[in-house]
Order: sequence, then structure tokens, then C-alpha cells
Amino acid sequence: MSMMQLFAQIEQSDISIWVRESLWAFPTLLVAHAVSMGGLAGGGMILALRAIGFAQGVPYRALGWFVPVMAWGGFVASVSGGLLLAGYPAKALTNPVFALKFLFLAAAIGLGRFVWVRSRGLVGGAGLSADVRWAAGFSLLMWVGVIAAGRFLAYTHRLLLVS
Amino acid sequence: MRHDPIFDPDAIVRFAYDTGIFGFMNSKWGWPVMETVHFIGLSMLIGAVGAFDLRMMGFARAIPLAALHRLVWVGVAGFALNIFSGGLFFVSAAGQYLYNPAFQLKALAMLIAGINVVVFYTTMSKQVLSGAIEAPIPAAARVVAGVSLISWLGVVAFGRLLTFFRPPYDWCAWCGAGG
Repeated sequence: MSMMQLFAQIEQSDISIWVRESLWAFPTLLVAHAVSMGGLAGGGMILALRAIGFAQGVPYRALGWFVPVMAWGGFVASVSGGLLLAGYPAKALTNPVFALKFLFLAAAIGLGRFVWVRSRGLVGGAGLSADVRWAAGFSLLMWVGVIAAGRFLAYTHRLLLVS
Repeated sequence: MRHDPIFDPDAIVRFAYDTGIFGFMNSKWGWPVMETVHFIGLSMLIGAVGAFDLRMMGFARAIPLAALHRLVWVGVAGFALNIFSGGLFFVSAAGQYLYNPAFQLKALAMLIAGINVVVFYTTMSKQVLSGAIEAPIPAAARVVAGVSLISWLGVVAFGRLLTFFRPPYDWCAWCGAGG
């Protein structure tokens, strides 16, 4: 089966049709995706900004609380994003920007995790080494990239098998 | 067409046109770029203020409230980005916002959030932020935190729902009978 036939088959499944045609499914999924993005990317940006050197009065351990917020955001974003993808697989998976979004996401989470592991044990005014701060800077950039790529998905697709 | 006695969306769009905003927003990447800025601002606002709200509601008590409060500027910066980018959307398609029920609810949620901010900083912020880490948070402050979280999440939700309405002028609830 070709890729395109697979996409077409997914788009004829009950769940895919439900995502596209139910009166409330699509708006609800978009709202859930936007709100959870706030938790996941917002938390990630806070951790990165602190590691870069902003808000130095904030103890690193205080930032630990953002980790479950990010986890919940990530969970809700995955579920809502998965369903949105089920609605329009051909539209998303033929768009290189979609791959870029996940590249940025992996980099943002990977770099963020590295920064968090290296900073969570620090107390008081202990500083971070330069490599960790660079990683934090790049993770901030990657979060911006995830959001930008995600938003551009609505404008860059070339193929729609269904509408 | 009915006459709007309060707002003049055409004049607003004309302003956008004259200043070049309309042209920029309707260029190939104008609108998508500003939407991207708007979503980044949204994340900064919810990430910083939402976490502070949850702490003040009583979650994660191991974190000093005052320490989290030092990150509120990130949320303020996000809000500023969104006033800027949101303003560009609004002036470029004023009628699509003014008569849109999702926008009206979004504006209401922003108003509630704004009043809530003023209430917090004028009546309780000093007391709440200077308290010891073990100090119980006053009930009033928990309520303010809950109102803040719900109203900002409402702003996001109603904002995301904006695009599901393409309001015609006759959706104007406050306009007189057609002339």
C-alpha cells in the first residue's frame, strides 16, 4: 500500500471523520492543544530563562514544580495532537514543517532535560557552567521553533485529501 | 446595514490600511508570523502566571511563593507581546472581532483577569508575598488565584475559538434596527 493510500484509509476511519465532522471535536481539540502548549512550552521557557541567568533569586529547586506542569501539558498536547493528526494525516505528514516541528520539540525537550538534570541539585548562588547555559539558550530557541512551526502548519500544507 | 452607535470597524480598518498595518498583515507571511508571536506570548503568560496561580491556590507548597512571583515578569512580557500582535489582528479585521461572540467572551475574560490583578496588588500582594513559606495562604488570595487561572485559561480558549465564527455585521447585538 502506498503512503497516500494509507493516509486515505486513515481519513475514512470513524475517529478521523469524527475529528473533522463533529460539531465540537475540532474546536475542543484546538483549545486543549493551545492550553497544554501554554503549560509545556511555558514551563520549558521558564526553566531555560532561569538557567540562562534571569531571575537569579529563584532557587532551582523551586523550578521543579514546573516539571509536572510540563508533563501534564505534554500529555494533553500529545493526545489532542494525536487526534488532530488522525483527522488530517495526509495534510500533516506531507508537510516538511511538521517534521521540523518534531525535530524542534525533541531538541527542546532533550536540551531542557539536560539543563534540568544539571541544575536541580544546585543551591544558593551556585552558578551553571557555560555549556549548560548554552544548552538552555538553545532549548529556549527550540521552544520558539516548536510554536512557530506548529502555527505555520496551517499555512504551509500542500496537500489535502479531505476537507 | 445596521448602524453601530459605538464602534466604527470600517474606520479602524481604514486606519490599519493608512498606516501600512493592513498591507503587512495581509502579505504572505504577515498574519502567520504574528500568530506565532501571539502563541509564544500565550505560553509565556500561562507558563509564568498559571504556575504562580496554582502555587497561591495551595499546590506545591515547598516552593516559596515570593520566588515564583519573581518570574511574573515573563508573563507580563508575554502579555505585552500579545497586546502588540493582537492589536495588529484587531485593527486589520475589526468587524470580525467586534461582532464575534468568542471575542466578546475573550474580552470579558480579560476584563475579569485585569480587575483581579488590580485587586491582588492593591489589597493583598504585600501580605501574601512576605509571608513565611509555611504560612497558610489567606482564603481571599486563593480565590484571587483561582479567578486568575480560570480567566486566563478562558482568554486562551475563547481566543482559539475565534476562528470558528465569521460574524456578519448583523450579529452586532448593540446596533439599532437596519436602515
